Amino acid sequence: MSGPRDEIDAWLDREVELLPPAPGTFERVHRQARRRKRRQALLAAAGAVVIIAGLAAAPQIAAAFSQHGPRPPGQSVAAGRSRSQSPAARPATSAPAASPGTGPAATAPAQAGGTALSATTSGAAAPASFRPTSITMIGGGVGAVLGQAGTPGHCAGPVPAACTSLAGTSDWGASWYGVSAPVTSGPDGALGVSQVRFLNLEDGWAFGPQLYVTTDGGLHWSAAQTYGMRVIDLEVAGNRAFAIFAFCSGGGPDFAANCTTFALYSAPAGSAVFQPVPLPGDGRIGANGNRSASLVIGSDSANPEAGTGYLLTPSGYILSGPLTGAAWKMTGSATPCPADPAQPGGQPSDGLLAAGPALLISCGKSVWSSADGGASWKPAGIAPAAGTATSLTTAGSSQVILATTAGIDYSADGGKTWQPATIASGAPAGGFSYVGMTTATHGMALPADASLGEVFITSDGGTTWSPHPISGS
Amino acid sequence: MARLRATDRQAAEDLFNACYPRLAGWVRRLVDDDETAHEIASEAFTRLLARWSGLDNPQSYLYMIATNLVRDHWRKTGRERRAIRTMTAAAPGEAACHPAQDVDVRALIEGLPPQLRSAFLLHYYAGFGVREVASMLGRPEGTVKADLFHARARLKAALGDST
Repeated sequence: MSGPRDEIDAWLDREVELLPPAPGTFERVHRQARRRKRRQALLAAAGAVVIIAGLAAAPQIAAAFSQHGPRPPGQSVAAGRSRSQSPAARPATSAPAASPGTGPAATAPAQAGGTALSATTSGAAAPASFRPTSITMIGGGVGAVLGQAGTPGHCAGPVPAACTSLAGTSDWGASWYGVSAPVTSGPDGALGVSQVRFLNLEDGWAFGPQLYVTTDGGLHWSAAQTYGMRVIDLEVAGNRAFAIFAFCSGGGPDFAANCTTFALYSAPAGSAVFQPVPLPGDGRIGANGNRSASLVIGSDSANPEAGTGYLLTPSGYILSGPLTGAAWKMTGSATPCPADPAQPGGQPSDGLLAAGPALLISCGKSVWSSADGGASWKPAGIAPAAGTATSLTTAGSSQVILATTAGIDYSADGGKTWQPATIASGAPAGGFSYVGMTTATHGMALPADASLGEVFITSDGGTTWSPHPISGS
Repeated sequence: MARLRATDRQAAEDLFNACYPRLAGWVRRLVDDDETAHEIASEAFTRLLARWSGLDNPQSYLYMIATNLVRDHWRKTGRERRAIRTMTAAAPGEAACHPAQDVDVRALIEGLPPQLRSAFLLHYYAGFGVREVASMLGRPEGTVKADLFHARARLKAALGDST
């Protein structure tokens, strides 16, 4: 028979039976914690404002308001430090996780902590001297461009070289507003970002080579762990982001050059933790000289999560898989061409891949198509002679659009025949670095010369394109 | 606004993966209900992550929060639980379905004065050393040792009375 002491000891010594969390518990807890922090910060900010209001005499408030006034509509959040703001009026926890509009140079956020992507406008004007390097559309005419603004190396704030900026649109690029950007520079070896993708109004990723994640439309950005690798490509679909991580040694804007090992990673929207997507073998994709790799998503608009992802390896094989984070597999034999060394934006300089109703790849001057997800390829046609292809896209049946160093060409018969697109004001010098169709009718293109500060827009399936300035719109 | 950096988030997730099952199991022994245990463990982690950056010892903080939440739960449900226990005890054959010893000791711990109870739970249950408990509770080590001694003495006496 056990005595009292034994009974207590037996109870205390009994091993605690583990009670594992339900799947997704950490994500839920993390979200709740973030919301709570945000509320606390807002309350702190509101408290500070109340205190200031209480301290200031009414005539002083009136005088101050008449001198400075509310920020007029259209005043840029990138207007430097011309608009004074009392330090006491800022949120108590004001460590900048994101730069409002343009790097740390901006000081007048429209909301506490910055400005976010919106279906209308953030209320802040787009940063001045915007040089776009990447564009993303989420549908309904809403999208964002990422680039550099201000004078590189002369931006105010904690990161002197950080001029990375974001602008949003809600009218297919006709006008732009400021959105907070991650505080980092443009691509410089292992640092900075050059590309952006938004899945919806909240979840976005800035990458190439570093990786930043937002879950509140750009209001805040946090750096994601990339395990020492560079993010050379990233696409979003369904409820996830897929990214190619690679060990590379390219310097300056050639961050995706000289890569030795590649891997596919994925994260669900709302998470900054990317996990490896299982691939054949040990999950790593070997290098092939200085060749690159790229990623495209074949979305099913009726059921976005039922689409298929495609990864072109440096050896020219296609890996494909579901948009769930589950394993991807090798698809058929090698494509007609491997992915050539990367362009500054990370995309291969040849072996351009596009996914739509069919899977397409451009190899030198020829375009090939696959109707079986990359298992087999047929020549679709010969690309236009002028210029060198830089970007390929398709959204409608038989529609193929090619950006080149000379302009934009389109084909309405799957690549058999091509016509040069009509570009209002003429093709910019150097042509285009990117073209993408959001729908069969609407698309965007970026000029190779980012200093033009423009995006080109089509609303007729790619036959005509017109420039729209980002700054001052 | 300060937020979890990626490295902090990874560390937080690692801590979550390492500690959640044991913390939730620990809470379950005190509240005797899986759902409540998960609620308390999740809430403890939520509070931890909401002020992650300012903490030197997240694990200690986690158990402190959980201890307070368990105490709150006991306070709220005290009447209900006592009534249920009475009904359960009255139903013949039901007692064999419950870890009677576990429930008895838990009920006795629940009845300890707050000062003794916190020290007891953190030291004997969560496995923190006397020095850590002293730091967590903001009391001298000697006081914590004395609290632990008195807590055990009370439990022994109570169990002696009940046997």
